[in-house]
Amino acid sequence: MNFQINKDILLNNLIIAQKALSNKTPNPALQGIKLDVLEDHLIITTSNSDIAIKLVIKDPSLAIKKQGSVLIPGKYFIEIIRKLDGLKVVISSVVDNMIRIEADRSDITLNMMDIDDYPELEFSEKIKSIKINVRTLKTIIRQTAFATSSIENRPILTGVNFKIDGNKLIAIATDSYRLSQKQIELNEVYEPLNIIIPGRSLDELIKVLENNNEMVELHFDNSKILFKYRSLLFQSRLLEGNYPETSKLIPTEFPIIIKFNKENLFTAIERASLLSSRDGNNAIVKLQLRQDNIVEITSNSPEIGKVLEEVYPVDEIIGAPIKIAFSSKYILDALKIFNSSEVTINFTGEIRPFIIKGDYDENMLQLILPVRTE
Amino acid sequence: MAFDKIKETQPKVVQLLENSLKRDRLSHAYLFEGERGTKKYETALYFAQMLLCTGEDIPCQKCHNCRRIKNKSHPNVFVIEPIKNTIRKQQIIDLQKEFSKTRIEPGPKIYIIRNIETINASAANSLLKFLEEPYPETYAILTSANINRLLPTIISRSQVVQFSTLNKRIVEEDLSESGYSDSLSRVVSNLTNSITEAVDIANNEYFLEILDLVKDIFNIIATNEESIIIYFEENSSIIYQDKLLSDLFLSLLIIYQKDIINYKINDIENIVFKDEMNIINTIAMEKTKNRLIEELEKMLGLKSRLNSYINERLAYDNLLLGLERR
Repeated sequence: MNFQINKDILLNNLIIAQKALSNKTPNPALQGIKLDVLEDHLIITTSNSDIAIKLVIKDPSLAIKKQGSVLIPGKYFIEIIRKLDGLKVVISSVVDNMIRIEADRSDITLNMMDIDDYPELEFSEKIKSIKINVRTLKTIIRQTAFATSSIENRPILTGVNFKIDGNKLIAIATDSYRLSQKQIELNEVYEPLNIIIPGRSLDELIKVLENNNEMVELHFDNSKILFKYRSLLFQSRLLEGNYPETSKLIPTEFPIIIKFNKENLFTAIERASLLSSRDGNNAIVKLQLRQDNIVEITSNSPEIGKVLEEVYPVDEIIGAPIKIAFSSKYILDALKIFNSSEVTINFTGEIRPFIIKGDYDENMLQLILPVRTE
Repeated sequence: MAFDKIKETQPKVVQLLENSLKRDRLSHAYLFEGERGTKKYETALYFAQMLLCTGEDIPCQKCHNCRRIKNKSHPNVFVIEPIKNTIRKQQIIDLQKEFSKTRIEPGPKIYIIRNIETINASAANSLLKFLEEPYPETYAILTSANINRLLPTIISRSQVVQFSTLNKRIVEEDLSESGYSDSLSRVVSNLTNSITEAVDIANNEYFLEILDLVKDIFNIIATNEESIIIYFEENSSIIYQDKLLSDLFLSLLIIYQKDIINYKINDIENIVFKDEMNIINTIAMEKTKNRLIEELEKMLGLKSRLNSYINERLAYDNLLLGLERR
């Protein structure tokens, strides 16, 4: 193997590839970056077993003298390339399983790893793929992945359920106390599909995608999903099992509907959560709709003090007075992801789940379960 | 690792696994049970190769999958080993986390848990649930040298595969041929079934010292000339240096005790310490059969407790006082 390339191009690709590099893994081979030098392009592969990234580099600055494949210790390789001077870097394999990196006046040799131990990652593209705008895909992930469970007791809830039904794509995430659902329309009709993608993989995916209107191709099979964006292939494993049926959890009739200014509601709840009897993420606040149609947000902690916030609904209220208590973290998380400046909260009862919707967030709903306080 | 020898040493096991694979009647969980040195772990890896091999003569040992299983770098094969003599809950949780996701490479996923008898209670409960609801195309292989220490619920959820004990004579003859004395070879061959392990024990610098200690203890019991506790206190420091030596000491004590019982029931053929006949005779005459068996039970009980955090000195003193009692 022997090739020369522009240093910055190589570095930029390595920084993307680093996202899938693992530093703690049972398989030491995964600490390596795999380079495949082919006739006219270079392939960089990394994986931490949950996700894998493959980058195809075809650049005018790439000059290949000799083809070949190597596995290089990832951490050192990236740091070396980062610190190098000069515009160009020449990388070649030399005797005794060493790799030589030359740039400007530096001459570095690095021990290689055994490429035989590297997994066979397939990155297989299907004939028919689903095409989604990058911005839309990022929105779907941002609006659902936060609601996945962070505890591993029920592994299936750490993922986001992607369902395709005709020309609709529905993404659902829940940790069993709250649920986030987003639906978009696709340009074409696709075969039905129902998979669960680990939330953590999606968080990493967002980081490597840029913000623009290009298309991402989604290639599915029953054991993995592949996202193709320009020359980047991002592959993730899926979660095994069947996602719980969530459609029955979502109430359909709402006797009480209140519309708020999102910002006012958010800050009122945030202030109330400061003095809740339970601290941090578990802060409980109460919401009460009074007879005079003003909403009270209260929290009370006998040892510290109490908060009373009045919030004026922005529209006519439908339904009778209600008193309900919920986790402030869940509702703040949910409010954060709305683009609308006004949100509607639909209640079904004091101990029944309620849902939040926004006028400018079509096809997205947030469901939260209240807590019993008495 | 000598994979080629598995077929010779455990032909029945290999046959069983081959037939199940051929007839597509694989169990989702196997429990490989057999004494130490019977190549349970090697067979587990061999079985993993059979399931994942892409070559023609399964397992071919040549294809990429076979090679990586041998190097323990195949992403579909997970091995759990006890950490500090215990399999902990976190290890089982990590395993569950791994298996809740789809496979990395095509083919089945396999997990191997070595020395499953060392699993602690909370880890065992997590594992049970996992064994009960297997994901499709996953196989479990548990290995154990002592099936009696396992939860019955773990045994009932897996297919038990018996590994036959290697012939003691082979180890004994091998050692004699390598130049060790006949009596030494006989003792060591009763401690282990693995030839390499046997050579290790015979070469251990403290082995002869411990052997003498054991012989002296029974000598004192027979003659009753001095206090066994005081003698033991003065001479036992070597066995506390290392758990391995302590284990060795207790194993030798057990072999000797079994010899006395064998003598009592006239099974002279199976006596290991042949050159200690006089002492064995004296003790056997003095104690009743029931008492000898009771004492042996105490030793075996202590042996299984030795891996836990116990006060070894007290445990040994207690045991020896029991032997000395008239």
